[in-house]
Amino acid sequence: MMYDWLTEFTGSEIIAALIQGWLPLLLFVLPFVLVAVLAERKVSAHMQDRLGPMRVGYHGILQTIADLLKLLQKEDIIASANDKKLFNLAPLLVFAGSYAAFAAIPFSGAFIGSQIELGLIYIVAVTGLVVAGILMAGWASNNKYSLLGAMRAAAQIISYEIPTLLIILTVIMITGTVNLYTLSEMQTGYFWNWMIFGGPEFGLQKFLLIPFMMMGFLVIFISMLAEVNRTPFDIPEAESELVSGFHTEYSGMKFAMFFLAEYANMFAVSAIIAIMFFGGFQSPFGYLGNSLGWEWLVPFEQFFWFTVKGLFFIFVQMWLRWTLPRFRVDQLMAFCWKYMIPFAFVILILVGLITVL
Amino acid sequence: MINYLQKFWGGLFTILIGMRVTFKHMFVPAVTIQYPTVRPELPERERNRLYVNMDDCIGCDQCSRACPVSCIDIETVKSIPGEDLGKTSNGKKKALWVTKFDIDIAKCCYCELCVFPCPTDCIYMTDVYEFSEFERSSFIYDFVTLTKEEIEDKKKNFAEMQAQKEAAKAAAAIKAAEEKAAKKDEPGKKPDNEKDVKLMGVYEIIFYLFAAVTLVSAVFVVTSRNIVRAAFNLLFTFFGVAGIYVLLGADFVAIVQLIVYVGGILILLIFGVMITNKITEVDIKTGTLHTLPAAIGVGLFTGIVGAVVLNTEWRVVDSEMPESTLTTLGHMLITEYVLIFELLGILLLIALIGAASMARK
Repeated sequence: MMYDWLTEFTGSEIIAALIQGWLPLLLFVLPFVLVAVLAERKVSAHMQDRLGPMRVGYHGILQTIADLLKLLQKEDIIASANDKKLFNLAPLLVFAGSYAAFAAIPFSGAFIGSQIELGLIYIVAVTGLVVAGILMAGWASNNKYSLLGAMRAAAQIISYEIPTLLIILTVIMITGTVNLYTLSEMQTGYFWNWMIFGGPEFGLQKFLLIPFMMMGFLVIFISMLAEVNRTPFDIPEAESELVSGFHTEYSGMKFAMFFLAEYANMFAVSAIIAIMFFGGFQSPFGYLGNSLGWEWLVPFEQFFWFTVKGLFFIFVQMWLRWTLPRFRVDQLMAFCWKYMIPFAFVILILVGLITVL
Repeated sequence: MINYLQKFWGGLFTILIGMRVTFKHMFVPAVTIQYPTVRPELPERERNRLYVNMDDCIGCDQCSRACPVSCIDIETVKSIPGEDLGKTSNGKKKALWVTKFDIDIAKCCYCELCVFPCPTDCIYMTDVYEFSEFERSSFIYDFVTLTKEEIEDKKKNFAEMQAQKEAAKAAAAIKAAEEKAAKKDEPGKKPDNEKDVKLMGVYEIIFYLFAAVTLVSAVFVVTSRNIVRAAFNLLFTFFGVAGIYVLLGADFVAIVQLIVYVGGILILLIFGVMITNKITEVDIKTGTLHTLPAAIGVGLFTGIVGAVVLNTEWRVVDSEMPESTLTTLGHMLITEYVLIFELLGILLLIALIGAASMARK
């Protein structure tokens, strides 16, 4: 596909691989983060009846670029008691972990890094590296707040991976695939073919599945929110208790890397949820390109729908952030083990029974 | 059970209520006033900087006496008879030359008590509230329009100029408060795809990359004196091994390796950090080095592996995307190896129950 075309175009598979590797970052992640950071500030401001950034550019649209320039110029502070190698490596690992997830995400029918057969599980696996990076950052900082935040992050992410995987398993039982591209293609047509409405096959099974899919969506959305450390699960960086948790000691561009990773992660989570339950890059109403006979328009439309769905869930994440207060550590663990996991198990077993029927 | 479900529903429902509130607030007009560009409307009786209209001042000193903090300093000189000092705007005759009229605005407490006694309404409060200076001495405002030596006409001209200067100063203070617009700039970055290694394909490069990661980090695991560093290096070793699994077409094993071992390493790290007291100083190497048995063991192992490597006929497959093993693996596990699979499940269950019962004590 994309890769083959690039290989032919450039005449070397190494150049093609490099371009392919850079594309999502330059075309999507960086512009997205620039927009998302501004959007978060704007959404938070308006939810609190404020205006947010207004000075740089029209209504502050260039604020993030100004901030980026500021971060680039900042001094890179490394305390003398830090474990320097690990301290320098940690932001890279965190960003690599969250960026690696983008390799498997199908942005549209034509723009996909790699059609990994194990797409969903692959994403869960590589985002595990983010935790390792966070723990590394916390430990290498040699700061009690950082270490506390890192420990909390590790405990939290290990716990919340269980309900995530259980719901992924549920979806696998219905669809029989974890390939994100096939998963998206399955939900083609109109919006009632989406997994949240019971999947593409029409019949009794579809109607029986709907409540479980809705529950499953809730469970996986909550647990993925916890995995990317967003409010109300942001106890690893809880500002009011831990200064700012694992990235307290970081400054300048390294801090920006953590920031970038956080927002990239937010999109990855939204993308997974959009693909699993809301049809991925499929349009809810059919394509303009097909009805006009312009074949080339379809991938762009798909890209549009995918971005819209992703951005919607990011908006929901921001919305929740400014609605809910933070969990306490013990509440967080109790919520996972007493509520999320039993619910996920019940969904798993009942959906299994329904699919056997 | 019903209580449990009710709790769950209650939690969910109250979240939705909260979300409704925040969503409504998105459309409530903001209360922010964009201060330097948009100024809040001042209240009717606001009290700000003092101003003295010297044309009307008769030098009666009443404001100075009214001032509770003595910030007004007035000196006057009587006029020579026959000298016409003019009249104030409300018809009073001026009789004194005001030679000094200083207001130390830094002392001023904005009580407005000086304004009321003034018989000519020449001292009053303006609506200027932004006046910052670098030196305290510049807060002493001099309102005098003439000195006793100079002739009145020239003095008057000079006075007008100073009054104008005063006004310009106030205007400059306002201007300085306004922010400058930040300069625009666009960050640009292009992928450097100039590197062209013609000797190897992508797969070879990736293979050597992962192999290097595995080997280097494995060496560090063994040699590192710091247990946390060793654990982190182990993470990279497992990551490299997972990469090699992918290249060998065992994608599921690779990913399970990542999931399981990343979690495992994290637990190891947590224990490492929590249990060891002084992590950086603990020597985790054993004291005695059994050189001879180790050499024999390593030699034997190397010999066996070398023999296997040399004697095997390696199948060379062109670099193709290997088929996914997931479906086959799933079918095999549920048909051919179902007994082992179930036994493993029981084993894990026993471990789980054991852990739970130990945790309860």
